[in-house]
Amino acid sequence: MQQKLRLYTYFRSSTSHRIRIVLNLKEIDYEPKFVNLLQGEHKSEDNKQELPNQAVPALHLPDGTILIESMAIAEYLDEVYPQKKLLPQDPVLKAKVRGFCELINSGMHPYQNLIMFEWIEKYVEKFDRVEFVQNVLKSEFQTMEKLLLQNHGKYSFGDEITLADCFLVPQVMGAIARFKLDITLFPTIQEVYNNLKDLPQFYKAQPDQQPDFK
Amino acid sequence: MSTSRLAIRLYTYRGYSAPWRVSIMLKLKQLQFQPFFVNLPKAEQLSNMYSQINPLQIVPTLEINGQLLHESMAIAEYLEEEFPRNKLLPKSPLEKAIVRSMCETVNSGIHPYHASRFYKYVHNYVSDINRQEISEPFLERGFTALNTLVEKHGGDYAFGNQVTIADAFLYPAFRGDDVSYLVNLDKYPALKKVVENLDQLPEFAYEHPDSQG
Repeated sequence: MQQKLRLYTYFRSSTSHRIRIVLNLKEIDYEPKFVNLLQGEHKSEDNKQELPNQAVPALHLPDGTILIESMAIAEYLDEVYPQKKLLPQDPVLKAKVRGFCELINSGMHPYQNLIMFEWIEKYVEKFDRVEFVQNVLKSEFQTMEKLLLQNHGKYSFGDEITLADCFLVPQVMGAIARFKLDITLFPTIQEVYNNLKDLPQFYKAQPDQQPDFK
Repeated sequence: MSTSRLAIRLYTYRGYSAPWRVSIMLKLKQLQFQPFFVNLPKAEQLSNMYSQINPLQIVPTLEINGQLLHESMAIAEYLEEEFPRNKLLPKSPLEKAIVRSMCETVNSGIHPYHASRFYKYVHNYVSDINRQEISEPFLERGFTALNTLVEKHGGDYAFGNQVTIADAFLYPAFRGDDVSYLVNLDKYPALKKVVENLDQLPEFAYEHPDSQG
């Protein structure tokens, strides 16, 4: 019988990465279940029940409920596990943190996932993923830089870690490692990212520290 | 929060799905607001004029008590917490997570794939393909996922028999001018049932872009 939370994750999935950070920050013990996206395991018959939207992350609760969508999962964890709160108390600041997360969640990531690439590669023979994503990110990162300039301290919003940081690090890490983004063009993003990425809860969540890393 | 001295302004374009979500929520919360129209089809949000108002150049933006809030989901959560009348989220964290997952399926799983910037990105690489062809597989995937969620958890509305934030996201995802020509509601029976129920509610009434003075 399932005792712990079970997280369906792929080491390189930016969306899974966010939740791994959240779980680490809140010191929540969980059981990882690895889904190899490159091998299409998210679309397999075997995973049909476990991954209702054919995507990671999915969080399985001990009572059998399955939660999807990283923002929805994060909000759930923040409410049910109140240690190390990731959303500020002040309503306007809270809205700004959520707005920042959504900029990444719905404004950037949908254009750099496997679904996007697999589709366009049917039409374009020598499709350059790096060039495509760089084009998407160049204006979005400028918006992110503006937001951080207004709000940052040591971290994205002041000197306390928030959910914004859990979204920022995977997005920036992926942009640098996979899409050759020149982070020096965005000095505030770079500064905050450098303050976060070596914190143990963030480091342990990163792709190359995962058991399914290849 | 007292509503007597509130100044609420919504930067919007009537008929377009993302700002429409916020407009619906403001009406459900019975909050008076002033709309400020930004011509999205003409990308007016990118103009210098608008950048003076909102440096992020994003629509929808909600101006409330002098603060600018962006992102429809963040605005939804803010309104829900600050204006507790006519609750738009269920009580338990689990039920909230389900409602939020419906909203996010629209917000990040559907909407990005009919946004004008998406067509620009694709047309940089594939020129002889129209919007329907581009969006179709993505929308199919997103609406199928949403249909499954609503099949499982819906009743009269997206989640059970009370209107929630999920309905404010779901309805414009079909009826919005930026998407309605791309999707066939008949393919999604659980969603169709909910949309037709929402058609009856005044807070969801369509406002034509030509009504923007």
